[in-house]
Amino acid sequence: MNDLWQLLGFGFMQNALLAGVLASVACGIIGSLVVVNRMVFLAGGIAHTAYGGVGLAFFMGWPALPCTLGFTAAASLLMGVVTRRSGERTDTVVGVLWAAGMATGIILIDLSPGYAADLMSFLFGSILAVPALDLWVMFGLDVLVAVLAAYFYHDLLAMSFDTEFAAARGAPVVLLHYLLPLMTALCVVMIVRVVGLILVIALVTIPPYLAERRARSLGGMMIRACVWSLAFCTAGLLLSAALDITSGACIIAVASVCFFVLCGADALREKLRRRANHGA
Amino acid sequence: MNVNQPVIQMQGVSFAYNGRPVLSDVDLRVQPGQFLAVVGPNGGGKTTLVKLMLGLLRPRSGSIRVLGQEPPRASRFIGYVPQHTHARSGFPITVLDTALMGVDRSCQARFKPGREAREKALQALARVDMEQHANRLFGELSGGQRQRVLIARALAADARLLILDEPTASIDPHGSFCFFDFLCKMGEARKLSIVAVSHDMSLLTTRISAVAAVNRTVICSTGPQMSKPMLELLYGRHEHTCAMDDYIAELSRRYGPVAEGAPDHVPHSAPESPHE
Repeated sequence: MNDLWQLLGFGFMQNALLAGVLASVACGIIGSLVVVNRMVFLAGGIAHTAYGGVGLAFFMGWPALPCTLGFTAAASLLMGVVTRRSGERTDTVVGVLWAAGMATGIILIDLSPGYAADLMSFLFGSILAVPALDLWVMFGLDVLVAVLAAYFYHDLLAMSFDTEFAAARGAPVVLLHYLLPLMTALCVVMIVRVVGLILVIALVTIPPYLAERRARSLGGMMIRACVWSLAFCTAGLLLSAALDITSGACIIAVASVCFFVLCGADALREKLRRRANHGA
Repeated sequence: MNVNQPVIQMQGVSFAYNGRPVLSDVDLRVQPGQFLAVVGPNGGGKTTLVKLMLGLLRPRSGSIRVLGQEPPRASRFIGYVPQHTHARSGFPITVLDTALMGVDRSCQARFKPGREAREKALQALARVDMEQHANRLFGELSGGQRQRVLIARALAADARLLILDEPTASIDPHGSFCFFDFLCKMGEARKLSIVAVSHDMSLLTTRISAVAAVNRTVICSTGPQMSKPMLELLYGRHEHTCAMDDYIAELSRRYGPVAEGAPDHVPHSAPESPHE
């Protein structure tokens, strides 16, 4: 216990916990929208294409963050166009963009002279080495995402529930169709730098799924997802420090175990309930 | 708005998806208080017709007036029940919140719906006999109950015109008859005009006031009846030796304009032309 307090005294640990909080807010809001709109695959595609942006920034010697942001935003808009146009084929096309973005990144980094970025740090991030500036950027992003989600709340809800009705009622369905992948792209790029690609996908899917079990509204689901996400990040971080294992992977392990335990408990409860009904 | 003005008026409307014609030369008129049943085969253009009325699609030629306005403008007064909502049963929303989606957004605050809006939504739920379920989750309901909630959502819009696309797709055949009967009664009681798309012929035995047969074009009749030309539009023309011809003859005896009258009367008593 003493070790833990000592650990919390370190600046890097405080930054890491703060990064977890900030990532949780964005992931809770965006993740809920992604899950109810069944865009998890699309979000995965956007997250992986981000590596193309990283590669491009390296190859051209441009500043990493704006370059990756621009690249990923463009890719997300392209996916928006594709999902509007090709209907049934969207999953295939998203798969292609996913792979192409990733390959582009690796090739460009191979071709770049000098120091090559580590793929592992892109995949799992380095939450223990978050600079203070990145925290401010993430804070700004959280505010932006929260304001957009609040402003378009009714329209997003209507569109997620059924697009046709929303369109017939005059909701800006086309705008939202592009805005949602774009918000996902913003969220993903910011958080990839901190916690890594795989953790982003885990945080965008697991907490919203668990939140949906008990939520009675989309807003409630977002808040619950934030809380779940925060719990996973904090527990994972402390566990990783105690056991001296990779933090990103540890956070995902905590989340996954929780996911399987709770799903298993749900299934068991359902089975018992049915048996009780049957016996009665 | 003039009381006697038609609720829907389509003249010479054509539409094509990527150059492939779906509907051509459609003339259609729905009078206030009418219940129009839209029947036809899959791919015949029923849903396209509905989307044209709603302004979700623009016609390639011809003119459409809904409640006296060009389609998307009147959408405030149209209650629309889409063919299927893609919401999964796990979608986190209550019955009341679903109905609230239909209420005009100008009387709603950003998060908490105002009292007025809540009242409207509850009234709409009461009309479909679902107000006691207001606080349940939408996903917990049965198919028929969900459909009622979606109608309440449509009604909550102060609808003067209700448009339903295959409303009984998720209800069993027995329930679907009751459902159409319920719609007819509600329409009469609330002086609503209703357009319901269905491939379910049992619709013709309820108290609907007009039928539109849709297959590339539209032929209308007044009253719950199908004339021979309408049946031929749906099923095609067949030789007398073909079993299909017998079927059409049987159907036109059953659903035809003058059930007990001579078949010769058929073409005269079927007012296909809306330009009277």
